[in-house]
Formats: sequence, structure tokens, C-alpha cells
Amino acid sequence: MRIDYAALSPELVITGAACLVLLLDLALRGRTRVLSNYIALFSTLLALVLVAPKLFDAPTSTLGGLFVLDHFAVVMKIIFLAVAAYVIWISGPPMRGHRYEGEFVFLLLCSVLGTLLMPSSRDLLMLFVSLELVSAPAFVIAGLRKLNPLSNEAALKFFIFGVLSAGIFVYGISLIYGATGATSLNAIAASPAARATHPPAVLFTGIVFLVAAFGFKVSAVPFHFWAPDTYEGAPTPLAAFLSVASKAAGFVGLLLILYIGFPALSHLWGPFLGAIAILTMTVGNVVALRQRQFVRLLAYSSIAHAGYMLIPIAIIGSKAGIAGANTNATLIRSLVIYLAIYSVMQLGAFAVAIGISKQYPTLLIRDMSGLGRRAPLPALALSGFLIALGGIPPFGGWFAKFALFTAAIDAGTTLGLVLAIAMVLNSVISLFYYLGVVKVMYTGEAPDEGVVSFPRTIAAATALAFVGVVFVGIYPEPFARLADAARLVLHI
Amino acid sequence: MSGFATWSVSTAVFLPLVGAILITALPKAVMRDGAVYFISMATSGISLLISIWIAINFHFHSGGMQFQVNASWIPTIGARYHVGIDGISLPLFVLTFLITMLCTIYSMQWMPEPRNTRPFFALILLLTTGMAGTFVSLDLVLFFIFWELVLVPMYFLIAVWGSPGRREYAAIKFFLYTLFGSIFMLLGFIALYLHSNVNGHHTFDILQLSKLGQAGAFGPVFANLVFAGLFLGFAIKVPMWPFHTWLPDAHTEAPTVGSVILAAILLKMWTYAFIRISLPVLPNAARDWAPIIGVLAVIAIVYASLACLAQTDMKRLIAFSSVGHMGFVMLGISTLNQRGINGAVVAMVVHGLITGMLFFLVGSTYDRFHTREIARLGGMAQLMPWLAGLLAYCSIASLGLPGLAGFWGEFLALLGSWNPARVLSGHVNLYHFLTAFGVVGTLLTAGYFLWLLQRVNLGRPKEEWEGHAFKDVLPLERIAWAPLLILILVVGIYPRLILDVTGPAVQTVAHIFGG
Repeated sequence: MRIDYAALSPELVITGAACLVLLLDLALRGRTRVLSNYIALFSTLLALVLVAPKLFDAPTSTLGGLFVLDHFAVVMKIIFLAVAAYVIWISGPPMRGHRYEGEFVFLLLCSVLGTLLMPSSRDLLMLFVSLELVSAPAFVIAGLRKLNPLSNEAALKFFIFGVLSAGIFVYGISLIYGATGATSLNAIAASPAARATHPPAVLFTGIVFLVAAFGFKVSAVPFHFWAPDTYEGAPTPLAAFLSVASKAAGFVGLLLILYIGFPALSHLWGPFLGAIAILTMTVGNVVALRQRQFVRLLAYSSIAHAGYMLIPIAIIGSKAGIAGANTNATLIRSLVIYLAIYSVMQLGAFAVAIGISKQYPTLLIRDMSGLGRRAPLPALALSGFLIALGGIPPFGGWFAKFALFTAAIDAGTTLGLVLAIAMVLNSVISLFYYLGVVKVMYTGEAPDEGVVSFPRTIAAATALAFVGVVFVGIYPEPFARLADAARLVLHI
Repeated sequence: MSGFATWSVSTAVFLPLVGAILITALPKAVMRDGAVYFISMATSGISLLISIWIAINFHFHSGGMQFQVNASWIPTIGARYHVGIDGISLPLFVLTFLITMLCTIYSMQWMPEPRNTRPFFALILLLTTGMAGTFVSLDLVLFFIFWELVLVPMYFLIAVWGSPGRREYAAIKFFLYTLFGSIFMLLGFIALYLHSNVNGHHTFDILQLSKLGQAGAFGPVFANLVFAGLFLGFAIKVPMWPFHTWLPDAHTEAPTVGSVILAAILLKMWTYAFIRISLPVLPNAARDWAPIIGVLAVIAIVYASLACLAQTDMKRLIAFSSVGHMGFVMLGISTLNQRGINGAVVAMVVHGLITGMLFFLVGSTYDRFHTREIARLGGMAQLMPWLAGLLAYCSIASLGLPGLAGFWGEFLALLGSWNPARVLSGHVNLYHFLTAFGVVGTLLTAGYFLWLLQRVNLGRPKEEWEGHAFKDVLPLERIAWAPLLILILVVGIYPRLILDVTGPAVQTVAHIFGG
């Protein structure tokens, strides 16, 4: 079998860098250990440069069809690598001098590798490997702050939930294999069981198990309980990664399985997913209203956003024929737009959180009182990110919501309309807590006076994200074009 | 058109935004209060000059769009940067910058607590860009962006600088109602977009959608549903009875400048949207809905005047009077004829002048007495003759005395409602009733304003104020108020100042409904 190394080049670069970091860290001492951070940053950017031109090549596949590189995969890899580079960038200051500085980078790169494999997977086993590769290193990172009880709790909860979902996933695969006799998504789609009007119950049970496993990954209700505790206890850069890249990988996997593997059964999983979507966004938003800790608030807000992003997946495949193909393309586009813009806003918010966590490690919202006077620019940027997350123009989030909203209505189904309305109503709720934080920053009594120190690296990263979020809000066309290019090829 | 003429509208719209960015971005050492005032004055002032320049170079005989820019913006979803001005938007456009500039001057004298000038002026400038942009947008997405841009600054103005106690409640209520409305509006916009077809493409362009709508491209059921969505969105914000309950709270709790902007400009965005979008794009649905709108409008007029009679808080009284005045605007729109819509547009502008001025006066009264309770005021004519005189002048203008500006809009709206557009000929009897009740409303309006004057201006000052020294109208207040006071008189004597501008554009709209 010939292996197309060019197609695999980004993954190879990340693998190489991960190994290099692991070995190098043994030799490095003191301040030079920061080198591993630079290597990781460089490798993600290199991989980005390698993968981007593939947008102009025809879709290919290699490893006997296990690894597919269509434009959807390329665009998703661009997003994942950009996110990874950003997370590595902002993880510099908080991890500097940490006992496990090198290990952190190594594990993070492994997780990044998993996210890269996810959009290229077309086989349940491959999806399983990708999913575990994303999760397993993160279990370890979550516990890196060994002496901190919160970190231990974070790691343990994350681990137990993760392993449970892995078990459920494997069990789901076995059920589906039993019903269809295949693990390749295309073969599953072609199997009689997956095309029947009344599929065997065992098959649907299998699908439910897969959805549950990915539900854990994207922190959909009721599989979300780990997320707030893990985000709060884990090193904050990992929380940023989990809430963006790892979550996006979950959506990609879910989309691939349901859309490619079980298109004929969308009438079964569609409403099921729709119900989860409504539940997720509502629970996320309502519980976020009661949060006092900023990272927990971001965690619940990210749960709410997961609910929004489930919408296109719930509706996809509900229409047949050419009109259906157009609708599906629009839905996938809206999901990609949402993921891309959401990444910018969420990472920006996390960057600010990391920046002030040096002075206020607990990151209570109370601590941020009066930040508008004590750190004017970070406070301004954070306001921008939060308003963007709430979907209010002129910051970027409105376009993400707008695209999703239009796509959901355009699908023309009752489910689409219901989900679209649920989403906007939820956006209204979400503004309470986003604006609540903004208000505290500008009108609250400062706990103490004096300028809040803000690491320069983080300041630069925050500025970049802020420019991004404003730019997208005013001129979203480039993001829309990128998402437009993300065409998912079913058969290759 | 020359380069400047092409981009003049955009420059005027975005200049305040630049000011807002400057105010926030420049370091603290540079941004002392004086510099903030300067930037705020300069940007809103230059924008005002540009808008006046546009008014001078405006072709008054044309009913179409002028100073248009139609540039590519987000091709992927078919949204374009399309702005333009016609006779309906021009007066509101100029008014926006005028009011903002006057508010800046006023705030130099009376900066609301907790002072914090930088964010305060940055928010006002941001608000200005949003409002001005709404009046010139000809693309639904652009319109939506500007519309939403107004929301957050206004929320913060009320929540942070409002009167202590209930400001947070009022701010949240304002925010929720408005956002709730815009959801339905957005749903309507997207439905229009998905149903439109121009050479195989969907469009968000208001002018193209109007053309499609008038050619009957939208079926009756669809059009009525979309109209209902837009109606709900706009009506909450106008606000029409029974969606008005956010307004008294928001107005009462907002800082003076916030109330002025809210009353003078923000409320007009919603009625403007009716004339700009609902009527031309969905004419048949508008015809079906017009009687309902008319009835709600008249209920608002009567209800608001009765509510005014029961108010004990001066600011709340003015706020409720706004509900009534906006009822006249909606009544004018519901006639669908030239007279009525012209009356509506004039009433919009004039209400901006008069009620804006009234909120200034109430704010200044409060700053002196530290109370707005009518029962505790009295004898202001003795304490501060100038302030009392101005209050009398504006109240009388507001109740619609001929010779002052308030008369024309309501007069035309009532006149139009007696004889509604031809497409409404089946409802003539209903409209006769509406006119009758509207007239009763004007009587009640006169009643509560005169009663207000009697209680506040006349009589003897209450004992608790003995020994207090009150400063009558201050120099900065004079500067801030003079333009409005003069305009109220000038428009009252010479209403063609507005009517000549709005006429042809209104005729274009009224023409859809048979004149």
C-alpha cells in the first residue's frame, strides 16, 4: 500500500515535534525549558503552512481509505492548528517554570494530533482512535497542578467521564458492527440495516451510544457535568483548549458519523439531537446565570454554545435530492463559521482570564470588579469578547449566530424553526451574564487600587483576538469564504 | 457625484465611532475631561455639519434615494453596504447629530453620577453611529447591525448612570423588551431574504425587496406572517400599547441625556422602520394590518393621556406623554395616505425637538430640587422664572398649540385619518371613530400638561425650599437648548421646512396605496 506522505504531512510534523519536545525536555534545565513551547508553536505554524495550500488541491485519501483529506478536513485542520498555536502561545506565561512545562507541551501536541485526525476519519475505529487521542492526554494535563485539590478533582472527574464514554463508544461500535457488518462509514451507509425504514433496535441503540460518547466530548447536557469542574481546576490554557479545539473535534466526529454513516435515519437521530440541543443551550445558559467564578461561567457558556452548534447537525440530512444537498452544504458551512468565530471569541476571553489569573488565581467575578479602571485595555477587550459571545454586533459573534440562524430556517423544517427560535431566546438569556461581567468590570468597586499586571505575551495575544473579533464583526466575508470552501465529500 | 458627496453619508455616520474609539484608546494622561469634551464635540459637530451640507445639496423634488453608496460587503450571504438618504430619513438624520451635540454640551454642565466621563461619552458617540446608521441603511443586514448597535450603549447608560435604585431593573427591562422585539424582526428579515429572488439570488436590499413586494412576489399568508413578525419587533420598540411598559421605566431611570436621546431619536428608529420597511415591502399585508395599527394607536393616545393624569413623578409623566405622541405617529402611518404619513414623519421630528427639550428641562429641574415629585414642586415661576417659562413654552408646544411645532404632526395625522388611503375604503367608518378618539386624546393631552404647569410653575413654593438659593438657567444650558427652542418656533410658524423635505418621499410611499 502506498502512503501519501504529503497528505499526512501536518500530522507527521506534529508527531515529530511532540517526540522532540518529550526528549528535549529531559535535557533542558531552568529557563531554557521554554524552548519546548517555541518548538510546539513553530510546529503548529509549520503544519498550518503545510495544510493550507491543500485547499486548492483535489480531495485525496490514503491508508486504504482510512484517512481522507477533503476540503472540509483541510478547513477544520486549519482551524484546529490555528487554535492550537494560539493556546500554546498563551500557555507560555502561566506554564513558565512549571515542573511539568515540557510534559504539558508534549501532551497538548498529542491532543492536537487527535483533533487533526478527526476530520480525516471515515471509519468508526479511526474515529475512536482520534477521539481517545484528543481526550487521553488532556486527562493528564488536567491533573498537572498536582498539589492543588481542585486540579485533582478536575483530572479525576474528567478521567472517569472520559473513560466511561470511551467504553460506551466501543460498545456502540460493536452494536453497529453487529447490525451492519461494517465499521467504515460509507459501508455502514450502504448496508441494508442503515437504509431500512424501520431499522433494528440494536442499530439505533448503537447510534444513541455514539451520540452519548460525543456528547461527553462536546459537553452536551446531560453529559456535561465534568466540564465546569475540569475547566476550573485544570491549568487554564487546557480549559481554553478543551472548550474550543476538543469540543470542535467532537462536533466534527458527530457530524461525520451521523451525516455519512446514517443519512437515511436522520428522521430518528435528528429530533433526538434536537432535543439534546435545546436542553444543552437552556441548561448551559440558565446555570451560567448563577456562576461566581469566571472560568466556570465560561464553561457553562461554552455548554450553551455547544447547544447552538448541535443545531445544524440535528437538521442535516432532513431533505433529500439536490435541494437537500444545498441545504446540507449550507448547514455544514454555518457550523464551520460558528466554530471558527466561536474559537476567536472564546480564546480571547480565556486569554484575558489567564492574564489576570497571575494576580487573582481564583478568578472570581468579584475579583474582576473595577477592572475597567485598573486594566483598561484588557477590560475593553474582554467586554468585546463577551458581547461577541452574546451575539451583539458589531463584534464577530453576530455573524456566527446569523449564519446558523439563517441556515436553520432555510432548511424549512419544523425542527429547524423550533431550534432557531430556541437559539435566539437562549441568546437573550445569555446576555444577562455576559453583560453582568462587563458591568462589574466598569461599575463595581475595585477590591484594591493599582494597575493589574498583565503579561506582555498575553496582552499581545488578547490584542490579536480582539482585532479578530472586531474584524469578523465588520467584515465577516473571509471567514464565510473559508467556511464556504469546507465541502464535505461523501464518497472518495 | 464627487468623491466627498458619495461618501458624505458614511463619513457622518462613522465619525462619532472614530471619536468613541479615540476616547477609549488614548491614554489616560491625554484624556482629561476637557479632551473628552473636545473629541465628543468635534466628532458630533463635524457630523452635524456634514449632515447639514447633505441637506443643502439635497434635491428636494425627488422622492427617491440620494447620496447612495452600494458596495460589496458580505457577498456570501448577499448582504451589501447600501446606504442612502431620502426625504423621510434626512430630517431624522440631521436631528440625530443635532441632539447628540446638544447632549454633549449639556453634559459638560450636568454630568450624571458616577461621573466617569470617558466611557459615558464613548457610549453616547457609539449610540450616535448606531442611530444615524439605522436611518440610512438600505440593506436589512446593515440595518440590523446598526439597530443592535444601539442596544448595548443604551443599556449601560441606563444601568450605570441612571437614577439610583431602580436603574438596573429599568435597564434590564429595556434590554429584554428590545432584544425580544429584534428576534422577531430578524426572523422576518431572514424570511424575506429566503423568499426573495432577484435573478436567482436572494437579497437583503430594501429597495429591491420593495420592488418585489409591490410586484406581488410575496404571497398573502407569507406576507401577513412576516408583517406580524416585523410588527411585533417594531411595535415593542415604538412602543405601541400594550407593549409600552418598558418605556416609562427606561425613560424615568435613565440619566437626563439618555432620556433625551431615547425620546428624541431612538423611538423614531422604530416608527421609521415601519415606513421604510414594512409598508413598501409588504404593502398588501400593511393594508390588512392598518386598521389594527390604527386602533392600537388610538388606544395608546387615550391610555397614555389618562396615565399622565395619574402620574406623580414629573419625568414619568413626560415619558407617558411620549407613548401618546408616538400613538399619533402610528395613527398617521396607519392611514396609509399622504397626509397621514406626512403627519407621522413631521410628528416624529417635532416630538424629537419638543420631548427632547422637555426631558432636558425635567433633568435640570431635578438637578436643582433633587426631586421629581410633582407634589413637592410648585411656584417655580417665582423661584426660577426662566426655567419655568421654558417649561411652559415646551409643554404648550407639546400639547399641540397652533403656531408651535407640536401642532402640525398631530393635525395632519388626524386629518389623514378622517379620510384614509383608497385601499382602506372598507374601513372608513372605523377611521372616523379613530379620528374622534384621537381628538379626545388631544383634549386630554392639553389637560394634563396644563395641570402639570399649574402644579409645578404656579402657586407658592413649598416651605421645604425656603432659604434655598436656586440658579436659574445656566449659560451652558442656554447654549444647549437654544437650537431646539428656536426650531420649535420656526417649524411651528413655517412647517414647510420639514414638509417640503418629506413630501416627495412620502408621496412615493403613499403612491403604493393609491395616494
